[in-house]
Amino acid sequence: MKPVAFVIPWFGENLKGGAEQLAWQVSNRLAKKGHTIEVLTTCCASFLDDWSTNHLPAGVEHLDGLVVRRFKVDNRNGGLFNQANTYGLAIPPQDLRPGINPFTFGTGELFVAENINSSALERYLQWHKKKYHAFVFLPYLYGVVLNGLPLVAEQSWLQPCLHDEVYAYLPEVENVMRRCRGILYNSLGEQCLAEHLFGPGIGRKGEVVGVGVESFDLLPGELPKQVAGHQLDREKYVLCLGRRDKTKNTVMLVEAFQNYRKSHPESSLQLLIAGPGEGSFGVAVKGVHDLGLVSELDKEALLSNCTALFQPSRNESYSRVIMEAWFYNRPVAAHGECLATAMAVEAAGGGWLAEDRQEWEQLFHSLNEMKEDELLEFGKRGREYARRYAEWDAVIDRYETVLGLLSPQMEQEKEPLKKSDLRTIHQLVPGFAYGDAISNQTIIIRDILRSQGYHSEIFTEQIDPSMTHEARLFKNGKGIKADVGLIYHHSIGAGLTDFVINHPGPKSLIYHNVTPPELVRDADPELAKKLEKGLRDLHQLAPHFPVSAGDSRFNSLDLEKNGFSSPSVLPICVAPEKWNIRAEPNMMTRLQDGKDNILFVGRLAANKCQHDLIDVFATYLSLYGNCRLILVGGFIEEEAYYQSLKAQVRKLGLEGDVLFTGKVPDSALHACYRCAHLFWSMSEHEGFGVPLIEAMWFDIPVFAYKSSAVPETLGEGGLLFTDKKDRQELAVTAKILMHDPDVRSRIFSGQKRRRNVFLPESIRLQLGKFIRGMNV
Amino acid sequence: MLESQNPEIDLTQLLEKIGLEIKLQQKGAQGRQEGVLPEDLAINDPYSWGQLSATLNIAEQNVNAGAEVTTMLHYRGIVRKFARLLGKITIFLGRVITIPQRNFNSSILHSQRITLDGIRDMNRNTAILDRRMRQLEEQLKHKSALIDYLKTGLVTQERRVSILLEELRRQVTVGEGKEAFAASLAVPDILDPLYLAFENQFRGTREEIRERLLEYVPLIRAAGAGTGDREILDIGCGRGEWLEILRDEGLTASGLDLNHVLVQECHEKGFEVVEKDALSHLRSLADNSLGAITAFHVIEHLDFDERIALFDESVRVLKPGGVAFFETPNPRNLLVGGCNFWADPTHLRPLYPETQQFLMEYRGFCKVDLLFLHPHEGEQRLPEEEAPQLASRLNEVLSCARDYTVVGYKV
Repeated sequence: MKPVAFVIPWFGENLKGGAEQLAWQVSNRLAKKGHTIEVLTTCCASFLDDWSTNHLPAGVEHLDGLVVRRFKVDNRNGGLFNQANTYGLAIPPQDLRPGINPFTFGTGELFVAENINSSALERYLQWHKKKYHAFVFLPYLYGVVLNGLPLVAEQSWLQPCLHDEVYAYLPEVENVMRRCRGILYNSLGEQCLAEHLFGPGIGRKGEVVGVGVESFDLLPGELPKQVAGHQLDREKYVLCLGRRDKTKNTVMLVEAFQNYRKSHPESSLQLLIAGPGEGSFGVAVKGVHDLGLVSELDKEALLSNCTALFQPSRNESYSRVIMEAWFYNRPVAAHGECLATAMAVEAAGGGWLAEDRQEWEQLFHSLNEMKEDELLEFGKRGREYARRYAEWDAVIDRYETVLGLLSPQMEQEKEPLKKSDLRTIHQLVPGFAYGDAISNQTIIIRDILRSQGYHSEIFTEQIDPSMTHEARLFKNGKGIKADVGLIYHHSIGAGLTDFVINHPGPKSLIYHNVTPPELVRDADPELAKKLEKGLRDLHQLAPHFPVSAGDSRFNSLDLEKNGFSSPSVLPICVAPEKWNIRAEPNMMTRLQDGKDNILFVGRLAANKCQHDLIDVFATYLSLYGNCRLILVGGFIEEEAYYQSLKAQVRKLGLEGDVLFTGKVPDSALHACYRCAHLFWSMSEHEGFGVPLIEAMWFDIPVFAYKSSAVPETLGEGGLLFTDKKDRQELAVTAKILMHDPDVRSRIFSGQKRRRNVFLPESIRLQLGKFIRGMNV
Repeated sequence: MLESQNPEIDLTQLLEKIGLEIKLQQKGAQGRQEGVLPEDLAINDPYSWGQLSATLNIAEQNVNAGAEVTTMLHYRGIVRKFARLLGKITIFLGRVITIPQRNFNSSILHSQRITLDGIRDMNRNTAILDRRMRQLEEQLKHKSALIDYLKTGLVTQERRVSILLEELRRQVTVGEGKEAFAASLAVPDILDPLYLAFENQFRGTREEIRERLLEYVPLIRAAGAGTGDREILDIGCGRGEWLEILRDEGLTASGLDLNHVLVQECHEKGFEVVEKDALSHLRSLADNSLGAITAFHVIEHLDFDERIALFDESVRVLKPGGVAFFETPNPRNLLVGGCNFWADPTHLRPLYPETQQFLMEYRGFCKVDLLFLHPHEGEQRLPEEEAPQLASRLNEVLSCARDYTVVGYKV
C-alpha cells in the first residue's frame, strides 16, 4: 500500500507540546504495526527555536522503520509576524465570534504568510502527492498546514488539535477544516468546539480517535522520592503541569492559591508548578514552588504523589497530563470553559471543574478538607475512563480504520443489473434552480443512479444559468430515447405533462406537493391559477404512472386521492455536507450582535403564514425584547402578500426588528442558520419542509404549528403546537425553547436522532426499491 | 396544545415551566411600570452611526494599499506580462514606504474602531443615566405631593386632638386627685411643636442669635453674676443659645421655658432647665438667691399685671448687686412696631421703652437703663440724595434698633 505521510512543522522524539508528541507516537506506532509511514517536516528544530533557521539538514532520514523527509524553511519577517500575533492576542476572548475574522486589516494574512512555511515542502506535496495514500496534517495553526493542506485536499486528513483561541477564528483555518477529506479529533470536546466554530458542514467527516498515553507501569518504588528538594510522599501538594504562557492561565491559578493561603494561613497545602517556557512563578508567593522543566521520571513521580492535578488552561484540545494523572488514580480539576478537558472530567467523574479565580480558590480549600479515600474515589473513576480512551492500542486501531489502512473493504454489494434491466434512467423536472430542494433531490438521485451503473441525466424546462453544468434544457424530448426510464418530478403545473404521458418507456412519478390553490387565492390569484392547473394535471397523470411516490406520507395520500395506485414514500435527502461552505461574514457579524434570532425559512406566501409569525413575534418582543425575526425566502417586490407584510411590520413598529432577506445564496442562509436561536414555523401548508430538517442539523430548536406534512417531517424533533390563538403562551414557550438549557438539550437529542433519517444513506435503500418497481 | 413525539420531553413538566414563566411575566410587567430599565437601549441617531461605519469600511478596504499588483486585465498577452512585471517591481520598491504605511493604516483604523465603540458605550450609559434621572425626578415629585398630603392630614388631626382634649378637660370635674390629670390635658402642649417650627423659621438661625446675645456677656461679668452662688436664671430660655454662651464663658446658669419640646431639647444638651412658668418658679425661690435674671423676648408675651409681678419677684430674688435685663422688640422702629412685632401670634402688644424703664424703677430696680440694639443693615435705608431731610428722618425710624433691652440692678 502507498505510504501515509504525517505533515507537521517540527518532528522529533523529545519535542515538547501535545501535537509534536502525538505525531511522534502515532507515526512510530503505526510503523511498528507494519504500515509504510513517512513524516514530512521542516529543518527547524522546535517550536521554541527560530522559525526561519534550518537547524537540521534537509533530506531523508530513516528512523526505526519511519521515513522522515525534512525540507528547508522559508525566510520570514518575524517582526511582522509578532505584530500580527500580538494584535490577535490582544483581542479579548469574549469578543471572538464564529465566522468572523478577528484579524482585521490584513493581520490575518500576515500571520499566515510570515508563519513557519516551507515552499520546498509545498512543492514536494504538489509533485509527489500521487505516491501517497493519505496525508495527516497537524496541528491546525501553522503555515506548513494552512498552505500545504489545500494542495492535497482530496487526500488529506487534518488533526487540528483545535483550541478555542483567536487563531481558530482565522478564515485560513476554516479553509483547511472545510477542504480536508476528514478530520481527526483528540476528544469529543474538541469535536464539539469545531462544530461550534464551523457548523454542521464538517460534522460527518470528523472522527474522534483519541490520544494514547504511555503508561510506564513502574512500581512506586522505582520512581524518585525526591524532586527538586521536595520530599514528595511527605508533602501535600497540588500539581500544575504544562507550558507556561499567557493563554494557559497559570498566573490566575497562582493568584487563587495566594488568596487561599491568605485566608487559610494554617494550611500546609502547596502548589508545585512544572513545565517549559520562560518566566517563573512563586518566588514571592508562599507555598508556591516553580520547579521549571523537569525530567519525565520526575514528572511521573510528581503525578503519582500529588493530592490532585490542576489544569487551569482554557485552551486545550486534549490534555494528556489529565489522563496520566488518572492512570495514577489522582483526581483532576479542569477549567469549566475548556470544552475538551471539561467534557472529559465531567464524563469520567474523575474530578472537578472551576472557572473564575474564586472558584479555584474555593477548590483549594475543599481539596484540603477532603479525605484521602474520597480523593482516591475520584481518581479511580478517572482511571477507568483513561483506560477506555487513552490506551494506545485502542487509539491506533481507530487510526487504521479511519485512514483506510486495513485490508480494502468489501465494495458495497451492488445488485448486478440484469440483462432485461434498464440501462438509462433520466429525470424530468419543471424547474431547476440553485438551492432549490427539489433540484438538489434530483442531483442526489442522479448521483445514486450513476453510482449504481445507470446512465442518468436531468432534463428541465427552466434552468438557472448558474446550474447549467448539472442539468440539460428540455427541448421536446431531444436526447430522451423512447425506451429509457423516466422519473418525473411533479409539483406545479408544467408543460412537460403531455410529453411524459406519451413516453412509451418505463416511467415513474415523484410528487412534491401542489399547494392547495384556496390557500393563496386571496393573496396571489395568478399563482392560484397555476396551482389549479398542477392539480388538474395530477389527476390526468394518475392512470399513466403505475409507480409513484410522494416525498412525504402527506403527499402520497394526496396522490392516492388523485387516483394513483399504491404510491410509496421517498423522502427528500437533507445532508449537512451542503453547509461545508464559509458562512457569509457580514451576515455573521450582523446577526451575532447579542440579540436573539428567530428564524423562518420559506417563500413569502400566505399559506406559510409569515403574517402570523410577525404578529406573535410582536408579542414576544413586548414581553422580552432583545430579539430579531429573520424571514428568509424569496418574494417579488410588487406582490400583494409581501406588501401586506411590510404594512403589518410598519403598523406594529417593528421596522428594525424584522429582517426580510429575500432569496439568499447558501452562504447567507448558512449564516442565518448558524446564528439562529429558534426556528419558528406558523405555516399551514408544508408539503415536506426541508428547512425544518436543516434547522435540526444546525441544532436550532424547531417550534412549529402542526399542519400538513410538518409533524411527519419533524418526527421526534422539535416541538409542535396545535393552536395559534394564545399568543402569550406561544411567546413564553419560544422564550423557554431559546433559554432553558434543560429543555434545549432534550429537544436537541431528539432532533439529532431525527435528522439522520433524511441522509442519502437512508434514502438509498428506498430509492433502490422504487427503481426496481420501474423495472418490473 | 403542545405536542411532541420525543420521549425525552415531558410535556406536563414543560407546561408547568410555561405556566410559571407566564406568572413571572405578569409580575415583571407590573415591575416594568415602576421603571425597570429595558436591557437594550437604542442608540440615538442610527443614521450617522451607519455613515461612520460605512466610511470606516471604505477605509478598511483600502488599508492594504500597495500590497498587490492589479490584475491588469485590460492588457493582453506579452503586454500584460510586462505590465505585471513592472507593477511587481514598483510594488517591491515601494515596500519601503508601503509597509510602514500599511502598519500605520491598520493601527489608526483599529484605534478608530475602539474609540467608536467607546463612544457608543458612553452614549448608551448616558441614555441609561438620563432615564434614571427622569425616574428620580418623577419619584421626587410624587414624594413631595405625598408630604403635602400628610401635612394637611396632620394639622387636621392636631385640631381634632386639641378639641377633644379641651372637651375632656372641661368634663373632668376638679376634685381629689383629678387636678394633675386635668393639668396634663392642657392644650398648649400640642401647639409646642408648632411654636418651635415657627421660631426656627422666624427668629433666625442659632448662629445669628448667639452673635447678638454675646453683647450681653460684659453686663453679666460686671455684675459678678454666674460665679460662686450668684447663679443666673434665664427666663424663656428657648433653644438654650444664651445658656450655651454662659456655659462657654464658664458661668453657672439655669433656665426655664414653658415649651415642652424646647425644654426637652435643652435637656439633651445638658442644660439645667425646668418646664414651668416664670412667675410660679420665681415665687418658689428664696429671697436674695440669684446673681442675674435675664429674659429675651418674654415680656411682650405677658400682660401688664404679670409684667409687674415679674419685676417685683425679680427684685426680691436677686442678690444685692444683681442685674436683671429684659429684651423686647423696639416699637420705635417703624418696621418692627408696625409689622414685624405682629409676626408672632403670641405677642400681646408692643412695649413702649420708657414705660418699661419707668415701671422697673418704680418697682424697686436701680440704675435702670435702656439699651438699643440690632440696628437695620444699610440696604434698608432710603437714599438721601433727593430729599435729604425727609429721607434722614425716615431712615431714623426705619433703621433704628430692632430690639431694646431694659436693664436694672438691685442695690
